[in-house]
Amino acid sequence: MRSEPRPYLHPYVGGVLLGLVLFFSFVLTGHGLGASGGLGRMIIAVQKLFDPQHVNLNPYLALAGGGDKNPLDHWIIWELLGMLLGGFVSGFIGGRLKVETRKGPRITVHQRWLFAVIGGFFMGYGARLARGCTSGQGLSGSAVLSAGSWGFLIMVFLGGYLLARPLRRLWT
Amino acid sequence: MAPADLVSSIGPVGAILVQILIGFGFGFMLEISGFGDSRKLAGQFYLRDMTVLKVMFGAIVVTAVLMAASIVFGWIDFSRVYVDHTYWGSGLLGGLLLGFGFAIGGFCPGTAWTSSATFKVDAWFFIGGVLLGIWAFGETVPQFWSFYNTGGERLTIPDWLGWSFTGTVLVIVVVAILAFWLGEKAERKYGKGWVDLSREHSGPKLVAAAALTVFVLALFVHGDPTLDELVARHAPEQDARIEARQIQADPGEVLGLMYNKQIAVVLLDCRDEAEYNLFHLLGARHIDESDLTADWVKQLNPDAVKIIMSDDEERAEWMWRRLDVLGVTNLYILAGGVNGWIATYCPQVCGEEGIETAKYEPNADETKVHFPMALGDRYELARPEKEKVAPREFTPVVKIQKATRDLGGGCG
Repeated sequence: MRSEPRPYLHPYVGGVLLGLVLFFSFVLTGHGLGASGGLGRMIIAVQKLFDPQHVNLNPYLALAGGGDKNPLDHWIIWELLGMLLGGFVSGFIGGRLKVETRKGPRITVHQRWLFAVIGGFFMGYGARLARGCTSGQGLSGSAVLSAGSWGFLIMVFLGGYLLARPLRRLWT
Repeated sequence: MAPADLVSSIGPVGAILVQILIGFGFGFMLEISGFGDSRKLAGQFYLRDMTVLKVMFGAIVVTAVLMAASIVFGWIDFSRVYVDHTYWGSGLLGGLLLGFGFAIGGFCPGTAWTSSATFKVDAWFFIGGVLLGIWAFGETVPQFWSFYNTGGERLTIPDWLGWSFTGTVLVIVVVAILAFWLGEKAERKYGKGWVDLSREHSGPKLVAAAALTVFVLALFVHGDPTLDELVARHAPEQDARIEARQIQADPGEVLGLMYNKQIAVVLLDCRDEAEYNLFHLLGARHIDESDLTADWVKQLNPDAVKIIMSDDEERAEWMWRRLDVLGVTNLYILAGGVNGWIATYCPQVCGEEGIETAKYEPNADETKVHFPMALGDRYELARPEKEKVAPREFTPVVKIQKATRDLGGGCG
């Protein structure tokens, strides 16, 4: 394996190719890309395994997993599988397969892990509240001109830039 | 016409393979663009590394432009493309929380998921946090269920602002080019040590930006396809359904639906207003060409059975073609039209109301029955009592398709 990772693709080239993937997703399947919804379905599947009655009685969980519905019987689960493969292959080609923690220089690895969990919690909660994350709402919804998705995207960047300054020790 | 129905064309296994392939492309492009690196992602919020802006906005622009071109050239039926529904309350608040999470954790779910495949430990922890947050959401959302569900229409920016699709895309392209320019300015100012600007050349970028603008400008000048152009594109499939008599509901079936308390039925009468005022089916709403807009169509309950009727079937077919293109679901035609209805039921129930049934002439283009007063739907004939009319034999055509309810978005 290469010691020095290859440089990333030029961002505009990446943007065009990612746009092509997204467009062909719409052409072939009628819907865009997603991520958090699939993670949500995994959670519901686990909850259903332990307590199906609880899933049935919760109107939100029941939407995906109520009764005899299998929460994992959904395109997004297969898409997530493909994403892992795609990420792995690209990482392999680029020499970036490496067990490591990416972080700002002023925090420790353990601090970074803690903040990753906290940030992930906000992200997971917000993504399900907004019915989509950066992929499903931000990317896919905005590309087909959903008014709510554009509003969502503006709020994401507003939230990020609001917290950026107080959190600068984390990253810079 | 796209979007394809993969399951029926290549089978469920093929559809799964395509979905895996799409996911592969998504993950590959995220990783190779640098989205597997949380610090690179977070650099966005410090104006040091604008890769997120360039890749994301670039992808949005490319897809939106290709979508606009596909709509203009008739390659895609946009009414069948999934557009994330708009929930102003929960969507915007969720977006804000997500932005906080992005700044704290440095990932979003898709990038963390991809990054986890290249063994980034912070991505694993982040996904753990995401799963916790999703779990917490599922457990708490019943407490604010009505807030969560307020809104939810398919609302595009063109619908919302009354712009054309191509015009909206043109605006987005111009804004994107401005944003890219500003982003690069920021990188040159703050990005030292974060981004490598030595490979940057402005020439190809300017050419690409100009070509893109000219192309979208041409689309905009051509304009969105008109309703009649859309109908012409859908003519083959619509003709087939009309000729197979799959959409013409017998008067007996319609009467049964009117008495069925389990099924919402919307009757749409597209005859002249004068004829409508004289007589119409019970609860029928009058519509005409001016109602053939996306806005008007939106207020129809998607789950309700819609029956459209004219004197005979001709004008109802004309309206059906257009409403179908506008995305109205569960839409049928009253077989034989209002004239057929009158011919069927008037001989059985009209006597006491003094309607001269004898004047009825089948296949006439006007109601050839004399209604003494404009009583609208207060005639017995508007919905005859079931006991008073002979049951009819017919082949039922109405099949109700429920609107899909999703957990949310492409992330569903």
